[in-house]
Amino acid sequence: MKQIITCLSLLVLFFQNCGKSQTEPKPASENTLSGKIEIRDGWVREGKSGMMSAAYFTIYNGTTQSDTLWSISSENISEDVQIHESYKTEDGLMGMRPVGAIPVLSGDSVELKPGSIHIMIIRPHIDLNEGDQIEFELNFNYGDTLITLPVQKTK
Amino acid sequence: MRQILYFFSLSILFLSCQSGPKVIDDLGDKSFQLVNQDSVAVTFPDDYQGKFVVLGFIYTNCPDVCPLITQNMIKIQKELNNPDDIQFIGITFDPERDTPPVLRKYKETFKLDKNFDFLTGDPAVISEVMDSVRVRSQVSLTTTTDSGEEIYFMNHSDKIMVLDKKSRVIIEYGGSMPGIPNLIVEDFKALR
Repeated sequence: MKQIITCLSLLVLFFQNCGKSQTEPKPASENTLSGKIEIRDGWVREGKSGMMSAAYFTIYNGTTQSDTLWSISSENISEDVQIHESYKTEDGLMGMRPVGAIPVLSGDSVELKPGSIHIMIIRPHIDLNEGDQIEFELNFNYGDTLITLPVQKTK
Repeated sequence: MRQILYFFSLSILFLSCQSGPKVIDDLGDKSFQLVNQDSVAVTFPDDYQGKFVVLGFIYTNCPDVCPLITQNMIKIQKELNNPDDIQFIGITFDPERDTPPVLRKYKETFKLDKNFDFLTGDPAVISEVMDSVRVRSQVSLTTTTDSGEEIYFMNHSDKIMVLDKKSRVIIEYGGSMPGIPNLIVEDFKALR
């Protein structure tokens, strides 16, 4: 009798799991790939000409390949636009260091945000006023991508 | 015996009523000759005695963290409805570059009112100010722009402090963290 119960339980478990594998959604990376690199929720911090500013956005890699943001430029506002990261040093200070590139896995995203990885805009030629639209060129393996980000106050 | 106990209890009650927030640093006996963004001479903290002071530390070539500190101070000011009894002050730890005109431009960027000052001064005096409130900074990274300008960046403490009306540092917070404005606003409700 014990053996029959054990067999029945195993059968129930087997069919339950079969059912699960058919109805469970596939991982997001398989279902929602858009086939392109997308830049989402981007903005540029308000600033005066000759001072410093920064841009922030989320990179979503909707391609089937891992990719990397190698560099970014915006010649209309500055010759020097660099990828940097704010971080806490070992002795508890806030520091900043250059980031050579930002890898983004297929189906994954990387958020550039205040206090973390950011795009540093050195000495913009013009005032960056709330509502202005600033064009950037991003260099990925995927290709060069042109984006336009709005200028906003610090969030 | 009962009288002694009664007196002892009253003393404890009296002392507990008297004890305000713990004093972290007393700047009441200090006096620093500084200058604000309008090139007006300021004696810090003397000129602000009688007001609470929300004090932050920045340098204007900082593209990311210092604007967050400044923005947190602005959020506190707004949340408290631009109070007249609280002065907001940002002191630069980079006085060589942060001259009054530069600080004025920085203040204009954030569209700040008369209750918000940025202070700079002689590098030796600024160094004394920073020592008195245990704020550290050091040049960490240098980059040369395409136009040949050499720009340095700094590692620095990340702090916002509250001084009471007698210029005593009574509360100290992480400066750039997102939740800080709410904490300070709540603390002010208890202080005022």
